[in-house]
Amino acid sequence: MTEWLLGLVPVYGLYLLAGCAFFSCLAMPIPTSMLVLAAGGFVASGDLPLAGAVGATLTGVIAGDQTAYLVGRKGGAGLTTWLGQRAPPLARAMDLLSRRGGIAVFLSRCVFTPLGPYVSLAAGAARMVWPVFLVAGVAGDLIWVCMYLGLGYTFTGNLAAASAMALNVLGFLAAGALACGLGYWLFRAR
Amino acid sequence: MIQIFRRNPLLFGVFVLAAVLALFFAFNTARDLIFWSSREREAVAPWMTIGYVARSWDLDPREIDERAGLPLPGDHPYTLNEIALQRSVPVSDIVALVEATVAQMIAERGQDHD
Repeated sequence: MTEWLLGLVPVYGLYLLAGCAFFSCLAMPIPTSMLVLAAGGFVASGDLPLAGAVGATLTGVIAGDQTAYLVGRKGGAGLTTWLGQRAPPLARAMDLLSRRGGIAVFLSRCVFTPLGPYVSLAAGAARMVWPVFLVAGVAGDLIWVCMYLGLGYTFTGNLAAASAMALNVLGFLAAGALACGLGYWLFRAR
Repeated sequence: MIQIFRRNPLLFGVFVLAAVLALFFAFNTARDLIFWSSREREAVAPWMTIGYVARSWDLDPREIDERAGLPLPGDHPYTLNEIALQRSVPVSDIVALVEATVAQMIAERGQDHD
């Protein structure tokens, strides 16, 4: 399926990128990261416009995030209220997400991307302040899109290596962020 | 440092583990960057365009088109699969044709450098 989709990138270009990015934010199993890496290669070869590729992918992920948030907000509120009455820790977790979820939303867009759709749903259900969700989400999306397109652009000709490189960069960012956060907390607590 | 470890041994362990992992991923990234130029290129595949193949091997795409007798990009860049469909031939034939052309151009480039 991946090869078939990759072959559609030069044909349907920006619409395909936007559509795949949108649906992957709704937890659909689409190899969007591979598509965006390949799109970076097509930008490098002059087959896709750079601004169009960035704009289409970014539009798709932002629209997908907002849709997931809206679904969580409309459909999840009743369920979480019901669950929260029976499980106080869940209520506390949702309360924490609604008040301080910006960093979780940001990290789930650019580092822990498989969690993205679920964090969006949970943020909506927890009634997280929408402008905070929007700003944190767009910031994370922008980093992810630029990183994947940039790696695809730079490392055209070996998608597997570019993908491995992206995972290494993401791993570094995730582990580095955790180490910095814990280090700050531990040494400050001293 | 020892005081911090005694106070929060579990969190301190997670902190050390995260720092080691960050170094591991940073090392891998640096290694990939340094050795990228000597990497193995991806084999020519049906989803690629001539532009993509040319970029992978630092060749001129229009020269590949001309030498292999392939069509120039039309309303959009053609993938090798599309070219095969236009010509009603198996895509493996087009892939083989492009591979042979690329190999020839690289060999000529090598001779020019000698």
